Amino acid sequence: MNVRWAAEPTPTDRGALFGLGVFRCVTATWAVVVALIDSRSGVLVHPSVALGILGPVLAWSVLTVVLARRSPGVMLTAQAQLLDFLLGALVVVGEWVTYDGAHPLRFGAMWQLAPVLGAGLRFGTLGGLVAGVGLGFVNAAALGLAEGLEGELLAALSAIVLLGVAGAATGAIMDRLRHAEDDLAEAKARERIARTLHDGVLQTLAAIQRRSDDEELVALARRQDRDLRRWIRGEAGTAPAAGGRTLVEALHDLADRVQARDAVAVEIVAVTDPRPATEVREALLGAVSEAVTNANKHASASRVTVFVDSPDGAVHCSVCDDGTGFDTAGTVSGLGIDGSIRAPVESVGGTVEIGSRPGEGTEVCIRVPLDPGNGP
Amino acid sequence: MNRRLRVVVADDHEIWRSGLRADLGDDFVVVAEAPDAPEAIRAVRREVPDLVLCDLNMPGGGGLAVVRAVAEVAPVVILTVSEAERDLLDTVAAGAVGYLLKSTRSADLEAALRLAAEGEPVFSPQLAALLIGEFRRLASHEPTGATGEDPRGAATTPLSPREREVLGLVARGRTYKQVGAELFISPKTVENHVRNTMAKLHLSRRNELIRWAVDHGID
Repeated sequence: MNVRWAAEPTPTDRGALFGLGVFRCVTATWAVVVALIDSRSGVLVHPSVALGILGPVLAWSVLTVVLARRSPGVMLTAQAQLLDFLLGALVVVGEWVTYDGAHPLRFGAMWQLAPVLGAGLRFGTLGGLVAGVGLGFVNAAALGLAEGLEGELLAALSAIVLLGVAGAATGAIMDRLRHAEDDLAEAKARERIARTLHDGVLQTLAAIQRRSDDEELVALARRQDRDLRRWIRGEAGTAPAAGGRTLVEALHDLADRVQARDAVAVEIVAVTDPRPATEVREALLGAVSEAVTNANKHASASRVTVFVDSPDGAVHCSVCDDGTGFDTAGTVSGLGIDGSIRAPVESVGGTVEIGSRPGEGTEVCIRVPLDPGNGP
Repeated sequence: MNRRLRVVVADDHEIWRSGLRADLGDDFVVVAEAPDAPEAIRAVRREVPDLVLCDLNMPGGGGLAVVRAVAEVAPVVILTVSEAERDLLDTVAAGAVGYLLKSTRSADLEAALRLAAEGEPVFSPQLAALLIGEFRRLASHEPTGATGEDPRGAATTPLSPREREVLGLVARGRTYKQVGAELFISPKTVENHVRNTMAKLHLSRRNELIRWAVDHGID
């Protein structure tokens, strides 16, 4: 097993270690009191041995509290864990050695839990289970040596199970807590960075977009702007490649490319960001791209607005320009409308309507179903 | 226009205020600048400008506080780095004449501000899209009479079919003139429809608040 010799304790670790240290002190003190009472009543036949064990146990207990406060990392080392476990085993064995025959109370019954809980805290579910079961077996062995296992088998087994469960449960709880702690820390860090970005970089990117005459620089700033915002919203995990972007983001990319290439302003206006199936999305993006290119190349438009909405389970997308327009009754071949707009849209079950009059711009209305086959 | 427009600029970033001052050109004169909402409110009440340009996120309550306090005194245009911000629609509902993205190019910015100073809403296609989405949201939360045919039961004020049509066309980038030509109405009527949608948003938001308060036992 690959053991970290000095793990970096989290705030949760610190709290748990301190609590466990206090638990050790209280139970060790309790053990001393029980041992004193029992030696007076005579059931504890070797008081010097018992106190010889409990002395170091009490000292270690106090030390764990101090360490939990001063340098909790030490408590997480394998050496500290081993010492803790050996003391636990010593207490378990000591009980069977120092008492004579039946006794109602045992001094170490509580303290021996501490090393098991500590192992769960440090090594997680499996570590806690192993420590608990191990100590349970030490207990069974000592019991067997002292009184014989006959008639005590059930007690020995239940001790193994209970200690194992205690250790495993502690480990599981600590793992959960650490995960929650990590998530919280990440959320906090993201919020802090988001605030910094909002006050700094995003303002600068906006200033570049507003004041620069360099179209390429403006497009770059716009793209960075959107990527950062996406990261702030917590969607940074998705790849920046075309496949990972939403429909509206892909349209923005398209607009950036066209604006960088031609002197035409392309505005994306979206009521919602629908999520059509991949082939529908590709067909739609291709058709929009062609319509925007047409607006620029053939209609010499200066401004194109791409509107997206999905009011009824289908995607509505219209590409409107302020260009020269044309007579829809006349010939429209050569504009690529049939091949590059109508064909891909109709292949996924969509429809295309084109409205235009000379001098009044053009509107290409595209409707596609979210899933191909479900015609709009 | 011969008279120079008097403007109050409120933004907590000094670089933005100076940048705007430099970019606004000869038609505008910046009479006061403010780094936060309370200072902006004081400046507007003192100067009574033709126009207030106000950042959405500012200390002291942000653009929303400014709009609530001085929307009656002077038209307020919200400047924002992102149209995706949740409070944007609140400022419009509270009486801002509209919003502009901080990335809006200087020429477009000036043109929009000149119209705003004349009391026209700065009604971008994006704002129209926001309104369409918002009224759809309000309608879907309506327990009964989502179509608005039962005015007694409806807490929100739904858009009329004509208003929806107008919003849809504005969102597609049409000017008021083009919308009017398409619907066979005058541009002035289009403008009225736009104003009405903003008034209805205002009313719906208030009703929503009242209903929320009633639902939660607050009188």
